Amino acid sequence: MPEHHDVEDLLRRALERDVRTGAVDERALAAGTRTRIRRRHRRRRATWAVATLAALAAVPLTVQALPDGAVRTRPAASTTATEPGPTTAPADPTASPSSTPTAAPPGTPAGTPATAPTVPAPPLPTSAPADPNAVAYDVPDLPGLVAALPAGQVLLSDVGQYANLPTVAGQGCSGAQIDPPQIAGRQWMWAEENSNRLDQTSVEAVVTGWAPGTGPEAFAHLVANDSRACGFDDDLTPGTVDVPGADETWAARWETNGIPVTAGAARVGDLVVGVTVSNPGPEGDADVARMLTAAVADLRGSGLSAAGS
Amino acid sequence: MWDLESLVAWKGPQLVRLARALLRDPHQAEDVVQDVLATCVLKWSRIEAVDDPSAYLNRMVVNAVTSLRRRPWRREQVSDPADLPDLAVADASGEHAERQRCLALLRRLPDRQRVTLVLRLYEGMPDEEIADLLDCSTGTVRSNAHRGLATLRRLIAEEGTDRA
Repeated sequence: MPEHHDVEDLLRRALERDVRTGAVDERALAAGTRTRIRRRHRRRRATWAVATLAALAAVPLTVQALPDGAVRTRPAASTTATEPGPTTAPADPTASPSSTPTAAPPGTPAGTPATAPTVPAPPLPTSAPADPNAVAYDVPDLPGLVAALPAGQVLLSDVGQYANLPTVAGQGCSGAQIDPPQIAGRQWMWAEENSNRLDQTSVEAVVTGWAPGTGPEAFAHLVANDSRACGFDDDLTPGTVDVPGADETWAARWETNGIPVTAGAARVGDLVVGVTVSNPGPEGDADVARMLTAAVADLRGSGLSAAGS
Repeated sequence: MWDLESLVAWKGPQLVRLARALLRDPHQAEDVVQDVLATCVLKWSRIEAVDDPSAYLNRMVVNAVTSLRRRPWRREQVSDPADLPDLAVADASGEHAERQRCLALLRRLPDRQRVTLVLRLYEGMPDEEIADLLDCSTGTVRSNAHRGLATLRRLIAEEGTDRA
């Protein structure tokens, strides 16, 4: 009978020599993966349609159920909000391959109202459910930012109201408690097309709302790359960006897995808007400046007290 | 730059081999990896933001494999070696044949023991990390590894007796 360590050695050799060198048909693997991507896109479109109907039925309900000025939870329209952003990704790598973001279909600009269907309203709830992801206020649509996107960008996702976001897309997050407290947030992503092409120019925008009076502290963490819960792993090349109307600005470039990235951020009171462009064109820096300027104007004009307006 | 073919060339074979080691059925292994790669493509902006995307993808495969066991409608039907059908193991001698026999017997181990041994010996994962992935204590990891090797040892011995 073999000894215990002999079996371990034998198994180790078998795994190394026979499993690690096993033949794999890469073409079949790519073909199968492509089929699954297409299937998910179809499912996503179907889910989006259903969610839109449900949202349109539920949003008026939210307005009725909550007193004006009360802490609000994510509106039902934020169909992707149940899927956390990068903050929680490392903790649960497979966090639901089946729950892919229910993005709007390609070409849908942010905030585009859908045609109102005639769906009977469900009965009013007797009490508001406790929501651990409650936000203190909703980050509004940013029409100026959408208009300032590089030409040809289509909306891929809007994660809805969610206060657990990186300050700038591209930061890696540990899942630790964000400090100072983030109390509001919203993130969007646009790209040239809704496809799996990874070399296209894409834009991610994040607006984070911080506890009253802590916006400068949150921004200082970004500038120092000391965001406690979220930070950059890549080597940043610091830059500058001119954003009229902003209280403070930050900019940097880096490269992630060979993909060039340029990003910038601006603070407006206790709000921070970050814009990240992957595979930027030659006007990438100017694009970031233009989008940030538009976003700052949107936030200043939003009426949010967090923006000092 | 990045397209699906590049992604497959970069990580695909490695992930398939890992899944083959973790699962009994090689076809199911390819299914799992295709699912993981599709998720990777659709959520690349999130995945590229993590510390080590390569290790992250490995974890996605391990999580997908372990979650298979939690889905009753996809769960592998047998979990006790005694219930398993005998696999065709070539009655050949030599180092290669011995390794092949060992791999065939590995697939007859209960899920937890098999996954623990593969993560330890193939992925080189520390027990703490295995415990985190499998949602159990490090003591359970050590126990599963010990029992897995003991079962493997017994099965190898029985094979030898049968052939004698």
